[in-house]
Amino acid sequence: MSHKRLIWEEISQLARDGAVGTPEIARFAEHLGRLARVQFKANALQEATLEQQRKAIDALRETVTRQEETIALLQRDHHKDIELARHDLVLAILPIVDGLEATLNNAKQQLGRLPEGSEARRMLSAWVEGLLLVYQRLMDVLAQVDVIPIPAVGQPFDPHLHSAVGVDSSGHAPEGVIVAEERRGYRMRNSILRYADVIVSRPTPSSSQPLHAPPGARLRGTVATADGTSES
Amino acid sequence: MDDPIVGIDLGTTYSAAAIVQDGQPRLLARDGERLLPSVVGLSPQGQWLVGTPARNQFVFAPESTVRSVKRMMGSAERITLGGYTLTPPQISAFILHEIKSIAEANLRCSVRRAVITVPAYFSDAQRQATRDAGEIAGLEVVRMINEPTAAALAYGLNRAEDQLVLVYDLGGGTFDCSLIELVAGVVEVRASHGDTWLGGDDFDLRLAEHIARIFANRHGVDLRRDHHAMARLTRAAERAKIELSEHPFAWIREEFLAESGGKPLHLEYEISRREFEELIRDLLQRTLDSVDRVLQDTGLSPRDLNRILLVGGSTRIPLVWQMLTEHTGIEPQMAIHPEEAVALGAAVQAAIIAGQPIDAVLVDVTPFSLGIEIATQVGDALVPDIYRPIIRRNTAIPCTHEEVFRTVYPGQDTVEIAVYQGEHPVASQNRLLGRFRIEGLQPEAPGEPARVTVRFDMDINGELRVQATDRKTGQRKAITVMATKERLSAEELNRATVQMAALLAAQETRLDSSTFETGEVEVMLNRARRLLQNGRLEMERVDQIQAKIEEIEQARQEGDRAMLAKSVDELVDILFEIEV
Repeated sequence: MSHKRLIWEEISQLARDGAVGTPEIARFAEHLGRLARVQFKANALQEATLEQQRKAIDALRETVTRQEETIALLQRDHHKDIELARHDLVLAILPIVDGLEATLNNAKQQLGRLPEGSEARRMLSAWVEGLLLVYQRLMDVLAQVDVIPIPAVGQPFDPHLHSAVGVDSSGHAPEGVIVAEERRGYRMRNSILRYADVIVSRPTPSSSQPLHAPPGARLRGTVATADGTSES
Repeated sequence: MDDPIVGIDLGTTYSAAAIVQDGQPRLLARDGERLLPSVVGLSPQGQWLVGTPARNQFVFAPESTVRSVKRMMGSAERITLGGYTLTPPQISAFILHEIKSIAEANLRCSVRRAVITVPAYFSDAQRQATRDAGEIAGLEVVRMINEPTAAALAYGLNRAEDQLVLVYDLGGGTFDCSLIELVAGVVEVRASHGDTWLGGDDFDLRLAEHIARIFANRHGVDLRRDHHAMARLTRAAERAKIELSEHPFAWIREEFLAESGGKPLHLEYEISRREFEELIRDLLQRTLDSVDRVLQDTGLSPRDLNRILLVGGSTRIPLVWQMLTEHTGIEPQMAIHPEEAVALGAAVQAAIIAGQPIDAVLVDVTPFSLGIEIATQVGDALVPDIYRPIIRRNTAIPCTHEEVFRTVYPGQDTVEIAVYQGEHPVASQNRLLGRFRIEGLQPEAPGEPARVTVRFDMDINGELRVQATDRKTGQRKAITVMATKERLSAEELNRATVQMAALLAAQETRLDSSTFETGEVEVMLNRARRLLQNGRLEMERVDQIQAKIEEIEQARQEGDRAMLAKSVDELVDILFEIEV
């Protein structure tokens, strides 16, 4: 439906009716009135179209903004995933670091048992030195990804860094100070990768009992309801 | 999010919080940790500790640390911590307060309302104590729901048909089993039974002691007398237990575990799943007794059950699945992480109360079992074409499962692995996904049949990698095939898609007919309605316009084009007179 054609038809009609006179003026006015209505209708449609376009542009703009947000979010997730994968890998490597440390500690003990200046001692000593280098290289790699051992022995016990696995009541160290490390702890940037398992000095043995079921002291009990307990 | 309601699983050993966002329930984590140890302590410096730090100081300061306070809820017990004397709800409140702050950090708004789960067997006093704990923590407890009910909600059963469901919940330290009935979307706990001192920790202990005995036999050194060695062994046992849920064998390796006459002793032992299963079978049998009790109490038989849901981390042990299936004849479901199901269900309940839209928890699963063709010796005869599933249907993906098979006769050095998808016990009746051969097999002991480990890895895209490894030589062959994957079920997927579309539509600026009317009729109608809304018209005009609108709509309904054109024209005349 072409409004332009409608207008055109009206004008041609007027041209054909070209004569002058009072009835003609009246008809002319009527034609003009019809034209104005057509124009009004066309304007209304035009306005509606413009309004639609404005809304469409707004909607597109919003979509673009949302997409940009999604991209940013995905990028953040991607970085998080990388961090997580690294975290899991390092966590899996730590027991191997423990094993290497145990090996080195034991080798040092074995060295002490061999006679000073003996061939066997010199050989083992050189062997241990080599292994120590391997260990050092591994620790350097870990340090490069910000994995750092948590200081333990001689430090005050901090439950945010250390996990107590035993107490030492000998009184050789002030209460609350770590006297031995059972398993080294590590942190990665600001988070704890693994708590340090430590033995903490506690010179006066506590008279009070643990508040709840210490490991090993297990009670048995069963519970039952058969009467159809429903939600509260 | 405005004034959200969080779902909280306030557990004996661990607690967790979840929320529904964009129709999906999810757990709220801190530093990647989704579970908070339910431990509260007061540090020597007078600082309150909740979670892992509190657990860390338990051995050093047991008198200022409380574990498993849930077991004391509803009792008149008082707990002394440092100089404070506290009630069990006050201790629980510390845990809830910590969860509240984890939720607030996640959602970046204040959290004041919660749905908290309690065991089905909790008495009124225990429930009241839990409610009190919430209030002390600054949380309005808008609803308390039973843990098995929460599990059912997580699985979307409130929107499914009426049914009877057994919820089998085996956690780190407690076991519960409940029979719940769903009628018209309402969940009711019919019966519940359990063992408050049975769980994964017992399995670790059994395995650690078993290894210690083997070590003693080999080296004559009793590790059980060495606290340090036993701690290492228990940790190694827990790791092995978890590995055995996916693999038929697990290595336990601990260097320099002990010394004998100055000589260092190492532990290197490969434990088989079967060996581990024999260690814990009697404990699991006790859980089956509880299942029977629950059925007895309700006068039902396993045949009456529609499904079994597995909840709690220890249900990942394949023997649990196997024993339950054999005992009841129903394959239990574990598509949702069993440690998270209760918290997720609490979040679902919270969303229902808040009137939030919610989808089913979407889990990518294998809709069919995946396995290989094997042959079995029956008497003297060898029966071929037997189907042995390796990944069971409805297992959440990605996943890995591994089984060991042996060749049919000694000296056989080649096997063909045919990979099938389906449920039929006859292998060839299922869908063949692919086949390959592994050659040059060698027996582990002379004269014995060779053994081959078959490993199935299914990734999130439905790609299945099948790998066969000769146990003796370590040589391996593998193929990758495409298996079918699905989101839970077609029906559920459908519902989720519809809801997703509705959600998207609500989010986006409406691009529907009301903004994109192209027809002249709509434009004029809208213009007329706007005029009416402005409210500045004379009554006479209002009546006129309304009459025309009705005429137009009627003409449109009846499909009377001539009438429509006329009415619209007349409406234009009226509008023109008003506006121009």
